[in-house]
Amino acid sequence: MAKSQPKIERVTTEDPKPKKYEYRDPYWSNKDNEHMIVTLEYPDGRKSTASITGKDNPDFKAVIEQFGEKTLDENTAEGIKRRDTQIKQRLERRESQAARQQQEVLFNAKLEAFEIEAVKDSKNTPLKRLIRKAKTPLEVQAYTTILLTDYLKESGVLDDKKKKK
Amino acid sequence: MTKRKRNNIPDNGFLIVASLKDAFYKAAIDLAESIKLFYPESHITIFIDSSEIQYLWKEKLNTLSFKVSPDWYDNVDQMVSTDVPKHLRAKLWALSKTPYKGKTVYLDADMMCEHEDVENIFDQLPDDLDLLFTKIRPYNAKVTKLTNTEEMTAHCGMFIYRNNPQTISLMESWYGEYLKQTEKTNKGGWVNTIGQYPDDVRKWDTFTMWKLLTYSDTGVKWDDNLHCRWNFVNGYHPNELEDLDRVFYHYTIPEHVVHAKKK
Repeated sequence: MAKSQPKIERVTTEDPKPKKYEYRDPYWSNKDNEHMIVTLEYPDGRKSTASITGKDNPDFKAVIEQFGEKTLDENTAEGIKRRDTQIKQRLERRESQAARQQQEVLFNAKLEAFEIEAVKDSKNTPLKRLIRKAKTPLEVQAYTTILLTDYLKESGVLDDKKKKK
Repeated sequence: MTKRKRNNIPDNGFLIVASLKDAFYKAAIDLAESIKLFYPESHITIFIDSSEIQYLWKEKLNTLSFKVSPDWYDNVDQMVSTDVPKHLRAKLWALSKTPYKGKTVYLDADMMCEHEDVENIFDQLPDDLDLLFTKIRPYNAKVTKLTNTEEMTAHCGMFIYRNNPQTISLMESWYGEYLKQTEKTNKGGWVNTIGQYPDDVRKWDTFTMWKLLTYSDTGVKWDDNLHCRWNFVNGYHPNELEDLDRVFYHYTIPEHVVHAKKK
């Protein structure tokens, strides 16, 4: 008895494998619109970023088919705007940090000046005001020195007349 | 300089609050001194949670545990310690108890007066407003944006307010709502919800005030367009001053100074 031959089906066309991920937020990454960046989202929630190059790439074709070039153009423009805002914010924060450091140096100079007993106890209001209003540490130092000189003269430690002789 | 009698309270004055730490007590007294340096006729009230310091002030004693001017007590016209809560936000408790019948300028303790224009500060609150803030600079703030459409804009570290029923009621609500916002259960969870806003903002009294001004019918007429020279916070860009001199500098006491142990 002849053995029955197993039935063989010849495959003439390959079924496309179902995609294991969804494309999200694609945008162009070069001016010639030949390179795109897209987020791949998997069913378990994982996300990864893919770089797709070449118009013959099946993923490239699939993204264009799903979203259309117009959406990619819009996403690209939005991304550039967002990046510019981030750069601006970063620069502003850096400037603010620098300003903060400068202001702290100045403020600490004033604090130190007012920690000096002779300054703290002084009744020389105009000079004390000048120290508080000073805009640079050097100004603080200069006015403090003048106030201290006056104080030392008044207390007899510095004698004007003797020096003039 | 003419010395005002301590019990003679004018219509307008400054309110400063100091609680919990020596660093805040000292800062408040230094701030008062800097105001008096430029504006000797001003009237200053300090709310303080230390009855000991209040006693030293009353008796004109110079035996504080930290360094201040020898005649520090003369720079403070009124010092209140009765019932002041030992709370980080004692300020919110004190605001509704302002002794001034006209306008009050509230100042955080970590500020310093630097200009004689301070004597014009009460004129900054126009007749048609009850409450006036400076604007927060988002580039210099930890948090301003609450949602995509909601942002806190008023800086609550310095403001001018009028003593009228609706504004005093707002100040009372501010303290009450802040306590609710930060109340925790025994297990460490939050007692009250704050809606869709992140829990990070619970600690900010600015958030409480923003909520009250945005979602409650307070009847308070307010704005946040006071120039930043009146509350120039450390980190602001100098060009924000627009060639004007700053009147109050807001410096923020470093954490290590706040928590420094007594010598």
